[in-house]
Amino acid sequence: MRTDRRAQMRYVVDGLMLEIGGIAHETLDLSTSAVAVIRKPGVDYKMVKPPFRFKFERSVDADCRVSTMKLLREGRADIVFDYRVEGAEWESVLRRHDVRADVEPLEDVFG
Amino acid sequence: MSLDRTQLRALLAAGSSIVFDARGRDTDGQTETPNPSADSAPAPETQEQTPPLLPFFEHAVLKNCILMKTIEHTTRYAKRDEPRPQGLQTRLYFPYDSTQTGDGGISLIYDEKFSIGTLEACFGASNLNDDRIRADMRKLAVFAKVPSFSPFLLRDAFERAGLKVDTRYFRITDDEAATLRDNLKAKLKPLAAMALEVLPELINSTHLDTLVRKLWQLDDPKILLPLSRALKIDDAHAIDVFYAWIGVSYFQGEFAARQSRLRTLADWVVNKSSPIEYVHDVARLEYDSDRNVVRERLRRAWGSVRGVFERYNSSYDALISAGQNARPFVEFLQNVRADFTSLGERLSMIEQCLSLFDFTVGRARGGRLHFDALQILMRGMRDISVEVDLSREAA
Repeated sequence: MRTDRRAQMRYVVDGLMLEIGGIAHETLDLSTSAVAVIRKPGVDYKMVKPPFRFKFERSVDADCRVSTMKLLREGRADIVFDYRVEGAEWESVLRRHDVRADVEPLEDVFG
Repeated sequence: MSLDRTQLRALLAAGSSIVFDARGRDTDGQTETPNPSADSAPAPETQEQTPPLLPFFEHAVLKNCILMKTIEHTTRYAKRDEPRPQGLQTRLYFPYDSTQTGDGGISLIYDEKFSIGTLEACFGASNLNDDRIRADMRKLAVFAKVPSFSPFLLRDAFERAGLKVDTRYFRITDDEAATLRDNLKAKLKPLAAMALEVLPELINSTHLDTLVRKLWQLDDPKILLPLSRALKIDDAHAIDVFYAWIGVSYFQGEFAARQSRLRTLADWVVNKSSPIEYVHDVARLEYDSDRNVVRERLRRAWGSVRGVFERYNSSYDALISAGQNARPFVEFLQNVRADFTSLGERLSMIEQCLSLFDFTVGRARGGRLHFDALQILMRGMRDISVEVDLSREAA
């Protein structure tokens, strides 16, 4: 399972926040099952309590409830959680809002 | 470089990212006097409300100046296929007749020796040294520093230099510039997070957005230097390296925007550029040789561009991966300034070829060219294209 998580595509979504027990955290990057956020002072990340929610002002599609969260790793500046969002479209939502989404891949035009 | 008349007119007509027309314009968007590159003039918002664009430069000697970002060509290397010295150059072009800019003029290369004295010698004047020309020299230094006249890049370079200029010259609206800037800044987020790792004292007091803004502005050594040291960048090069990374990031969109046109050109060179009439063997051999050179040089240039962005993308992916492997990113930064410059060269070369191709084929009846026109076009693209210098590229 851990191997699967490490192999997952990561996305960077500018402006995407994660509310943990009502406290908004800035997200760094996320895959469909793990999210890294900037830590906030005074929060015990081993004892996080719902509600959990992604907040995204630019579009409603990434503004959604997080059903479960589990601490994976604590860094000096960031915290990584395993999480679950209901809905099969979540990855396409992340892909659409990723900071690289606007860049068309360069192809071998000379064949 | 000696652009022939067709190449010059093609460039001026294209309104491309390698030409900057610094001449003043009336409120209707026309230059003070008609010229073949009027299509590239910034569009006025409304005739009643928009004040005329004054000449970009303050001094009268630069009033009709048109700047070009082109690849070094010299006549010393006249033989076909022989390697030419290459390098991106900033050229000041002064048309003999400002109403017919495509009919030729004098040009000066802005290099490390360029000075007010260069202009004095060019115009036979001895008293140019005043506040206006010194202000213009500061502007010229900005043009020389950027590897492309892409509207956003140029506008951003003037903002960073702290020089107040009329932004209508840059052919990009405030909204477009803000969108591009926000998108590029967002890509700095993983770097800002890395800055937090090396400056943990900021964690409780600084928002990530604040760090992103500081990384964009590149003006806070208290943030930049610890981060650059963590990334194994010399202090003296930190600002240039981060700026080059932002520039490479920006260029990705610039090349993507040209991909479709380049595909059309590639298809034409490979499949549709054979003469339609009988051609003597000697001329045909020469033409086919030119065609092979153009195809090969463009192919290698495009391949080199793709290579840079593959390294850029994979190093960024590794940085944000679950393993947070910064090593590919550190390696990418080691060469990023050279990559930024080489991308500017490739963009200039591709843009010049596209301009000439569009200009020539666009004027041909039914899009079909007779052999003499084909020869001129292919020879022109051969002269514009240069061997791709792979020596500066990372392994």
